[in-house]
Amino acid sequence: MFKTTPHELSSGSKPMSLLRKAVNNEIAVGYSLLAPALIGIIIFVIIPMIYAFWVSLHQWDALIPMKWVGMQNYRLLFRDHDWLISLGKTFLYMIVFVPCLYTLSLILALIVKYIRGSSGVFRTIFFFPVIMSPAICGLIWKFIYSDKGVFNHLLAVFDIGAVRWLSSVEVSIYSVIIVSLWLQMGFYMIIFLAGLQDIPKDYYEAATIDGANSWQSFWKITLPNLKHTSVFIIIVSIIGSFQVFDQIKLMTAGGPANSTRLAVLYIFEQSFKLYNMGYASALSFNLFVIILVFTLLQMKFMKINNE
Amino acid sequence: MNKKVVILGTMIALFFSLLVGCGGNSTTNGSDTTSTDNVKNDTSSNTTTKKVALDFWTNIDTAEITANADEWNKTHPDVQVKVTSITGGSAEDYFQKLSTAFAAGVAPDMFTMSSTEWLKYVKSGIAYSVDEWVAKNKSDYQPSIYESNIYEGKAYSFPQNTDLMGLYYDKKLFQKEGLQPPKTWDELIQIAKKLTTKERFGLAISTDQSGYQDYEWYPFLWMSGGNIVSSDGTKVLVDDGTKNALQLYRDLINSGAVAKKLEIGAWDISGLAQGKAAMQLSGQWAVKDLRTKYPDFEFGVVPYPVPKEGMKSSSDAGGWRYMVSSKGKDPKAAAEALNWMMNSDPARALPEVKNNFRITPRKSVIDAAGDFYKTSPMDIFINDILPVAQSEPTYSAGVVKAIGEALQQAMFTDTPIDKIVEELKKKSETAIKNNQ
Repeated sequence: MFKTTPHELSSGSKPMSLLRKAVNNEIAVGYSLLAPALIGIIIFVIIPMIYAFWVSLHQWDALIPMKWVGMQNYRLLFRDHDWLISLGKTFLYMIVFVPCLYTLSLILALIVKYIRGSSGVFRTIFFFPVIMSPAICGLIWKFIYSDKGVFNHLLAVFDIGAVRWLSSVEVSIYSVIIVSLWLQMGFYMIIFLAGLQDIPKDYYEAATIDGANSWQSFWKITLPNLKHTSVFIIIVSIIGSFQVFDQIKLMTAGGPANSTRLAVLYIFEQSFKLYNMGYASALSFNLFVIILVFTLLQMKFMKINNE
Repeated sequence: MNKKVVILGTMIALFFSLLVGCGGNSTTNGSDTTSTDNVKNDTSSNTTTKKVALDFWTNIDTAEITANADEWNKTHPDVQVKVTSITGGSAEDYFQKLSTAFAAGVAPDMFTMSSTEWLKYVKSGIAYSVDEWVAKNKSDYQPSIYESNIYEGKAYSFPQNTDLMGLYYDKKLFQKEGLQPPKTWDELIQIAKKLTTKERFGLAISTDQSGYQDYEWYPFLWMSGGNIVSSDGTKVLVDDGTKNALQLYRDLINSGAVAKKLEIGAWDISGLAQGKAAMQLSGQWAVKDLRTKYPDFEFGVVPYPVPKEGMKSSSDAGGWRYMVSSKGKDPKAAAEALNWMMNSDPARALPEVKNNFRITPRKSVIDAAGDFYKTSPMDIFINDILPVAQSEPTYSAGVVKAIGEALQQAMFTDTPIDKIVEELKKKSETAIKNNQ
């Protein structure tokens, strides 16, 4: 008789037991599997972030050596009128974009789920913009929006005067929002769809038996059960709207008259047009703090709701 | 425990092997070029001289520059030049890439640079003085171009070419309508209005805030006697002339005859050639596209219209230069190579000039070009536009930003021009004070 632990009992030959031992060492395996991603994040995210903070304490135009200025860049940004305007524009973008995105992607998800025989075709069509590069979309929409472009030709058919989609200070930001919506709603539709699939059918059956119409079951069952999905979508889309860049850079480059110069575009301008690398880094950290505060507020709000 | 180390080690090794591909290319690429290009020159490897492989970045005229570099490489086995083309974006994209490369320490040994941005590279100590080579050839250069290349008594680049702006127009359309190209600002607006249809704008100008927009606008500014900053960069000269030139852009936009947003770059002449605009401001480089892409399109070029009849027109002499990095592997060898390509035998500079419709700054190249500058439309650029052209100013980034914002305000808002001018003045003064 050998004295054996239950583990060794089930194991066969010697190499097998070694492997099992290794597998059992969950922490080691876990970290080693995480290593590629972790190292990637350290090299491409954490180190650049620390470096950016270091840069933000300097005056640097990328060509001549850095000059230490301490917190001066941070003091400057609170008095930078243009930065505050940029932030204001970003908030406007967020306030319009997030509710529209939420509603539109939910409607799309409902269409795909409840309209019979539509799901394959519609899902593909709605998801299509997501797989396109924002840069290409920006270029295509620039043509669609041009003064004598498709949209204005369509409007002319209905005898509506031409809209200066990208060349009017008042309209341009909304034109940009439309493109962002078109670009992203497919992705959020899929997330909503996953949320919808998770709602047990019994709820709806019970509601039908109790005589609820489809409108009532939407408000009383669908929406409340999508709470977690909704919170996720709102947080992610708010963060996204603080970081919007590609399509704007390509369509308007911040114009006309800086009417679409949102936060990241302003940072880009400071760093790669004016070569104020230090100041641009300070702005990035300012934006980072703003996003962090927003996210924490939302998480807190979510917690209160959960209790 | 051992397994853990092995697995971790493998993962890390794998990851770093992936990273190698992203690293700097200063050493590996260099030796590659030398070995492949020097197969025939086995004797050279016996000598003790050190071989050097130089990187040359350009965003224009790659074909001709590469041909010159190949020629040089054949006869100079020890100094091999590898040309990298950074094209596809705007000039601003190229500047971004270049300054990032300098910040990261992976910059080229020599590079093309615009006359607006070159001073930054001189002041930061990156530019290597090439006075030794250029000064010898002083009499060959047009004096104004030669002077614009001097900083604290020394030449810092090999002037490559001069870009000149003019007003292009659709010749057939003008003939059909019985119109003459506009000579004054009023005519410009009137004719543009007249030629605007449902499918076509009367005039295409740059409407996006950019260095190019400023470049296009400066001649209007100078014609009306305006200016922004004195040539030594210390005094703000914003005045009534500035006001008039801003007013012109507001009037053009409000006339409804100007495209407020272009689908393609404003420097791209396709808009005119495809009938989307009847007139377009552009530089002499557009001739190449018109000749090669739209050979059937009939176009004409005239100098910029003037504010009032009898006044003198103006243009912007911008252009490109070859510069040598003082931080490169062998600046002296790099300067020798560029000198050989751009500052000696005019025949070597000629293909670039002729193929790309460039205005050369060198008299010997003009002579060597034969009839090239005597035929239309190059004769207009040389005879009518060059004499009235001013050098493109090298304003600091802060001043450029202020100008760009003023133009945007004039074009796209209702802010009174007086207020815009006041703001431009204030912003420029702050920029100069803060050295931005």
